[in-house]
Amino acid sequence: MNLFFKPPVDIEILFDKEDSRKHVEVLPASGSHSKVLGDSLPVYEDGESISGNVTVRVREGKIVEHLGIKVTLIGSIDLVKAAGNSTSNSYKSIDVRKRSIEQFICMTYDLSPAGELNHSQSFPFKFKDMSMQFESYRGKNVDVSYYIKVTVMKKGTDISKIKPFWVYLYKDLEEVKKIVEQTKKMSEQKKANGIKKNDKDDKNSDSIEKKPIKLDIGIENCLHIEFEYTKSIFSLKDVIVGRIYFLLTRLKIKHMELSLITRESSGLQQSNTLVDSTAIRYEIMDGSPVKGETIPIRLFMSGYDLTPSISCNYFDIKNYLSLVIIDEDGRRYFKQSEIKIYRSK
Amino acid sequence: MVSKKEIVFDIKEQGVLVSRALKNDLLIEAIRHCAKALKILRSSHIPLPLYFEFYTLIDEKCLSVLSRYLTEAQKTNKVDLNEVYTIIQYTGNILPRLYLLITVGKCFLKSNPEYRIEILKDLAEMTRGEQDPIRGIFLRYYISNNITPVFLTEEFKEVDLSFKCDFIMTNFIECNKLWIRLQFQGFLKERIQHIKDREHIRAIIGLQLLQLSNVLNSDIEKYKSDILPVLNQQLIKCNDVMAQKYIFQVILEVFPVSFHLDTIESLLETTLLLNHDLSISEIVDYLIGRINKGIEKFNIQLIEYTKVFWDYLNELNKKIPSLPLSDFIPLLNNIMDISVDEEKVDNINGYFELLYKKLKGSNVEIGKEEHKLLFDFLIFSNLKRVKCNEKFYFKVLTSSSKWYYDLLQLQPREIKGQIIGTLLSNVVNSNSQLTISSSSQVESLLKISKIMLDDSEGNYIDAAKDIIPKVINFIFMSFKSGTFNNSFEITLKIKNWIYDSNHDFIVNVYPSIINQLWKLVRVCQVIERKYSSNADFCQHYNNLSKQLFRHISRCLGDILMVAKEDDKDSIEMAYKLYLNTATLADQFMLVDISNDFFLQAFELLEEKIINKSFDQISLLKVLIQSLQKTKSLNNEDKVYEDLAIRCVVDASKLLKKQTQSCAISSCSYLWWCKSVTIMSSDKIKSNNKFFKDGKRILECLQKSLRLADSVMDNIMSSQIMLEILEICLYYYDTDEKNETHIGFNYINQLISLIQNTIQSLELEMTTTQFANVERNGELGADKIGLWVMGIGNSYIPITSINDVNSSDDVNNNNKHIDHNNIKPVKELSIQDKIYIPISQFTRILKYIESQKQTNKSYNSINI
Repeated sequence: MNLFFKPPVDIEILFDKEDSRKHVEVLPASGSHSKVLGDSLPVYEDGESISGNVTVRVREGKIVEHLGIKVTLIGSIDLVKAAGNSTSNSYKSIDVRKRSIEQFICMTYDLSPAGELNHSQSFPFKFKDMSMQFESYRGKNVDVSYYIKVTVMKKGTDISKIKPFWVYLYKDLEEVKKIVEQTKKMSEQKKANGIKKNDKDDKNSDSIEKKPIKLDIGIENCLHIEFEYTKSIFSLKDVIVGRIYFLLTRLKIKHMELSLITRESSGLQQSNTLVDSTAIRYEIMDGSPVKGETIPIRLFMSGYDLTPSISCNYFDIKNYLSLVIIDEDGRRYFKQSEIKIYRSK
Repeated sequence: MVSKKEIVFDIKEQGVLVSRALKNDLLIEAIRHCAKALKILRSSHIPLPLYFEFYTLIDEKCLSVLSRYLTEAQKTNKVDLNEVYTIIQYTGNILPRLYLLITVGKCFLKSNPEYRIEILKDLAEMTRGEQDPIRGIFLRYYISNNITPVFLTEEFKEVDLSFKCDFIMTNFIECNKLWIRLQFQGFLKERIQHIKDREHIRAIIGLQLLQLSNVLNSDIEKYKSDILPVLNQQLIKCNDVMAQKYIFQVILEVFPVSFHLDTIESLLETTLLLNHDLSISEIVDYLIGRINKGIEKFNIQLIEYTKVFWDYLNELNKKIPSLPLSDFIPLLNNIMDISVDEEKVDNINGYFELLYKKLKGSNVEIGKEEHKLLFDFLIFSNLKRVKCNEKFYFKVLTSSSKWYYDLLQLQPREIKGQIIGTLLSNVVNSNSQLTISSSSQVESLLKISKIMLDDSEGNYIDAAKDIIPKVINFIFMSFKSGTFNNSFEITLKIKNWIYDSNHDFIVNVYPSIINQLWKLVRVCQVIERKYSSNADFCQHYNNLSKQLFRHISRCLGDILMVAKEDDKDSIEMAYKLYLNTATLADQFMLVDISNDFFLQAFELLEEKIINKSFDQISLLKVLIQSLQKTKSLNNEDKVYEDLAIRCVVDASKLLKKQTQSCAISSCSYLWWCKSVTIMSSDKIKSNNKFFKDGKRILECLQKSLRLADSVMDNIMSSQIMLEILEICLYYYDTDEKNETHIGFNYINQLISLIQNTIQSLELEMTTTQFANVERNGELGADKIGLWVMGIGNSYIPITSINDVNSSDDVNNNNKHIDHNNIKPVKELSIQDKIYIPISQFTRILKYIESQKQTNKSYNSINI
C-alpha cells in the first residue's frame, strides 16, 4: 500500500556514531513472514545517553504542514496477541503479532513546533542517561524492545518512523546475588506464611555463588547418579564445570548430553505460556559407563548466543541445565536444574 | 549401512578438504572437516578390523595433517594454540572433540611448556567422557601414540617423573577397564566375537605399560613404591581372566628382569589374589620363564629364590585350598624346577609332602587329566633344569623319600607301575656313573621297587620281570661301600627282600644274587690268601666263604622250589648254576662243597632232566666239562671217580640211543684229564697227577660205538660214528703213551665201518640228485654241502657270501641261505641231510691226510 500512497515526508533516524557502535545481530521476530535476515542493531547499555539525529525530508517542491514533530524513546514489553491479555493500555509494537503490554519507558519531547516543512530538515535529539531496567529480548511470545519513535503530527494521520536499538544490561555478581536472594526470600516468605526466618544467607552471600548444584537422582534399580555443577550462577562468559558420578547403571546408555534450555514464560499469571528453546546441546559422554565412573562436565558458554535470566511481572526468562541420558533404545532420561545467567562486562 | 568403500572415500575426501583448507590457512574449516571425518569413528556398527582401518586412515589423512600444520604455524605465530584449543571445545560431539583436543594438545605440549601440565591434566580428565569400549580404547590409543611419546623427548626431562607415570598409568587403567568392559557389551551370543576382538586389540593395552616402562627407565625405587603396587591392585581389582593373564605377562615382559627380581614376592602375592579361573601355574610358569631368560647377565640364579617360592606355595595352600590339581601340579612342578636339579635334590621332599597333603585333602577330584599330570609330575618329565635324568631319578629313588613313596602309593596300580618302571629303567640303563654309597640308599631303592613286586593283578608283571633283575644288578654294580661285610649284608638283604616280596621274581633275580655271592667268595679267597700269615683271620674268611656257599645253595634251592615242573629254563639254569658253583668251590679247593654242588647237579639231572625233553646232551656235556676241569676232587676219597662214574651211568640212562651214544662218548673225556692252564695268580698247588684211565675210555667208546651202530637212521648213525671217530683221533693225537688203547687199528676199523655207511648214503645221494636234476633240469651238485651239524639236532649253514650271490636261481636252498640261520633238521632237504655226514667224513679224511705229513703216527691209518 505504501507503494501507492507514498507519505509526503520521509523520516530518517540516525544515532550518533552509529557505525562505530557495537552491533548485535538479532534474529527476525519469530513467526514474522518477512524473509529478511536478522537486523543488526546498535547496542546500548543501561545509563547511556541515547542521542541522534532526525532528518525529515519533504518531497521536492512540496510543502507539508504539520502540527509539530516529536521524538519518543520507548521501552516496551510486547506479548503475542494470542496470549490474549486484552489490557486496555495496549500500544503498538514492532512485531506485528505482538502488542505492547507495558511501556515501561516512554519519554517524549518536541523537536519542532507546528509549522510547515518545505525542505529537508534535521533535528538532533538526546535522551540523557537513560535508565533501562530490562535487557532487550526477542523471544517467541515475548519481546522487550527499545526504540526511538519520531512522529510528524498532521491533521488526519500522523507520520511516524521507528528506529529500534538493543540494550544490554551488564551486572556484576553481587547484584545478581542480591536478586537471587530477594527472590528466594520472597518465595520463602510466601511458603512460611510470613514467619520470618533468621536468614544467615544475608551475611555470607558469597556462598550463594559458590554453592554448587548437587543432585542425587535415580530410577530405582536402574540408574542412580549424582551430579554436580560447581556453581549455580554463571556469567555468559563462564564455563560450566561439573561432574557426574555413576552409582548404579543398569541402563545401556548410548550417550549423555548436557543441554542448556532457555525457558520463556509469559503472561500475567504464572501459569501462562511456556516456551522452551534449547540453546546448547553438548555431548559429554559416549558409551555406557559402569558404576563408579566419574564423567567430567565442561561447557564453554561464551561461544553461544545465550539469554540472561530475566524476571519481571509479565514474563520470565529462565535458564536450565538439563542432563540428558539417552539409552540404546532411544529413551531419554533427564534432569533439569535452574541456573542463573547474567551478563557481565 | 554404508559400505566400507564409501566410508574410505568419505574420509579421503575430508582429508583433501582439510589439506586444502590449511593451505589457505582456514583453520576453523579444517577443524570442521576433521570433526566430520572423526564422526565416522562414532559409529558402533563397524567391525573392529575396519574400525582400526578407519582410525588409521583418519589419523593419516586428517589429524596428522592438522597436527603438522599447527606445529608449523605455531613456530611462525600464525595461530594461537590457546584459542584453537578453546574453539575445539565447542565441538558438539564428544569423540571428535576429544580427538581434536589431543591433536592440538600435542602441539601445545611441544610449544608451550608453561601450559603442559594443565593440558595433560585436562586431557586425562576429559577423555573420561568416552565410555564406549572400542571407541574409548582407540581414543586412548591415540593418546599413547601422540601424547606419551612426547614424554621421552628432551623438553620433558625436567617434568616430574611421577606426573608422567601417573598420566600413562591413568591411561592404562582406563584402557584396561574399557577392554574388560568390551566383554560385556551387547548380547550374550556375541561373547565369542568379543573375546576375539579383545585378543585383537590387547596390544593397545600392553603398549601403555611398555611406554610406562620406557618413561620409567631404570628407576626401580619408583617402580617398587609407586608403579607396581598400583598395577597389582589393578590386576586384582579387574578380576578378569584374560586381562589378568595378559597384563601380568606384559608386566613381566616390559619391565626389566632386575625389577622382577626385586619384587618377586609382591608379584607372587598378586597371583594369589587373581581370579580363580586363571591358571596360576601358567602365570608362575611365565614368571619363572621370563626371569630365567633374563637372569643370566645378573650372575644370579633363580635357585637363590627357592625360599621365596617355597613360602609362596605354603601361602597358596593356605589361601586357596581349593586350587584344582590341574593347576596345582604344574605350579608345583615349575617351582620345583627352580630349586632342583640333578645335583641338588635335598629340598625336593617338601614338594612331595605338599602334593601328598593336597591329594589327601578333601574335595580333591582326580580325573583322567589329573592322573596324567600326576604321572608327568612323578616321573619328573617337565623339569627343564634337570639335564641328566638318570642321575636325578637315582637321587630321588635313593633319597629315602617317604613322601615320594607315599605319593606313589596313592596312584592307581598301573600308573604306579609305569612310573617306577620308567624311573628304574632310566637308572639301570644309565651310562653315567651312579654310585650307591650307603645301605640306606639301597633300602630306599628296594622300598620303592617293591611296589613293582606287589602287583597282585599282574598289570605290569612283564615290565617288573624285566626291570627288577636289572635293578638288582644295578645295585650290585653301583654299590661301592668298600667293606666286605656291607656287601654281604646288602646281598642278603636283597635276597630276603625278593623272597619276602614275591616268589615269582626269585627265578629272575636270584642268578644275579648268586653271581654276587660268587664274587664275595672270590673276595673272601683273595683276602684269605693275602693274609695267609694270620691264621685267625684266614679262618674267619674261610668260614665266611663256606657260609656264602650255603647261601648259594639256599638260593638255588629256592629257585627250584618256585620253578614249576615244566619250567625248563629255570631248571636248566639252576643246574648250570650248581655246576658253576661247584667249579668255583673246586677252584678254592673246597672239596666237600664242590662235591656237594656236583651231587646236587646230578640229583637235578636225574630227577628232572633225564626223561624230560631237555637238550640232555648239551646239559650233560656241561656237566662233563665242569667235572673234567676240576682239580681238587681227584683226591684220596676218589670223589672224582665217583662222580665220573655216576655221570656215565646217567648218560646211559638217556632215552634215545643216539643221545646215549653221544653222551657216553663224551663221558670218555672224564678219564682223560689234561692239565688246564691255570691262572698264574692261583697259587693252589695243582695236583699234577691227572686222572687218566685208558681202559675206561675205551669202554666208553666201545659202548658208544655199539649204540651208534644200532641206530637205525643211517644218517644219524653215521654222524655219531663220525663224532666218535673225531674223539678217537683226539685221543690218538694226545695219547703218546698209548694209555687209551686206541691205536691205528682201532681207527682203521672205525673208518672202514663208517665208509660202509657212507657208501650207502652216497648211493642214495645220486638217486636224489637225479631226481633233482629231473625236477629242476640241472645238476644241483654244487648247491649242496652248505650245512654242518649244530647242537641239539640243528644245522648251521656255512655258505659263504659268494655262494649266496652266485646262486641266483630259485632253489630250495636259497631260502635257507638267505636266512643264514640255524635250522631244525626237518627243514632241510634230504639231499642236504645226506650230504652232511658225507662232507664231514671227507673233511676228516682230509685232516688225517694232512696230519700224515707232520705226524708219523698217522701214516699207519689207512684210508
